[in-house]
Amino acid sequence: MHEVSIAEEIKQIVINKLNENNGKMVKKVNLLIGEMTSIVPEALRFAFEIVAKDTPLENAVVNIKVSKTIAQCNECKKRFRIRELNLICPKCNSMNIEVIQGREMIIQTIEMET
Amino acid sequence: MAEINIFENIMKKNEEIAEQNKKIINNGFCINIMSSPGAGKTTLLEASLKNLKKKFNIAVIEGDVSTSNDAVRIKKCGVFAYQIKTENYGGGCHLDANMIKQALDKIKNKSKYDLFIIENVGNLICPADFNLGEDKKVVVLSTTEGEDKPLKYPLMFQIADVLVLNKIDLLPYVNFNLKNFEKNIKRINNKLKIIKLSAKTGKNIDEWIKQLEIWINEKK
Repeated sequence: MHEVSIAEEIKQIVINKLNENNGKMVKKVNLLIGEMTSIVPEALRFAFEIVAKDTPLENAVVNIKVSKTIAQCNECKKRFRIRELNLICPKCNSMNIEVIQGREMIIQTIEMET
Repeated sequence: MAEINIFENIMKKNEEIAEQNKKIINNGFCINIMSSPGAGKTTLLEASLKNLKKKFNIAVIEGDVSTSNDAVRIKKCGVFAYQIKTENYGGGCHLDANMIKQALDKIKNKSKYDLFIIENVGNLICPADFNLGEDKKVVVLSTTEGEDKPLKYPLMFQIADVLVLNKIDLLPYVNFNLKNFEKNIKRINNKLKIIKLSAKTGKNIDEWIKQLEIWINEKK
């Protein structure tokens, strides 16, 4: 899929931050990836290994936290977990709901050697 | 060893370029049409452009991995078309905001266009993750693909504003239950408007044309 272009983006952002903070090498990259994105964590790790070669990210461990899909009912404001696709409020049965979590792709933190 | 906070959206660059594209398109109305390969995106455009071009100036941006086949088909309708080939960007499976920006930079007299149509690469998964700077997202599904596709590819159907159900002329010949399909859609996206038509026979194409007219005129 497009894990390679995502890995490239991560690499660029992390290298900029490394330079800003006078770091030498990245040891760990902590990501938050939403359940509802099309990203497959293993594929992303594999893609990252490839794009990180010969860069200060070469030996970095990529830690991926998966963000659960959560919706909120616009009627009764209840927040609930979405597992199977039943976008109906478990409290008031309204279908007027909005997915509020599960589509993120965020670099949270990195650990670097100075 | 030091831990550095970043908290940055990986898609930030794409989002920024998408916003730039919005400004470049300005008063023009822009739609991003997505579907599986073969659902009928290009045929839908061929069926509706002859009518729409009488009222509006239209530019079509075509996205494919390879070939200019679709741009050629659009040009034959007498409408301006620009072909993006993702093989020139590494062979990707979707369009991103940067590709659209580069296409827009090459299109002359942009301000004369009332409608920009982006026909995305045939793919029900990845295009859903990439905003291009469009005003509305349209997903095309055909009756030959099965009534459960919205459940299998939920993100695409969640982010779409309108669903065009194409090839309704084939309903007597395929296992596609309209009632189950509508139930499936309601489970994924209660707000999704469904337009049922046949791009091939022209049945109900007016509803699609009308929707575009409403959108274009609302933005002006």
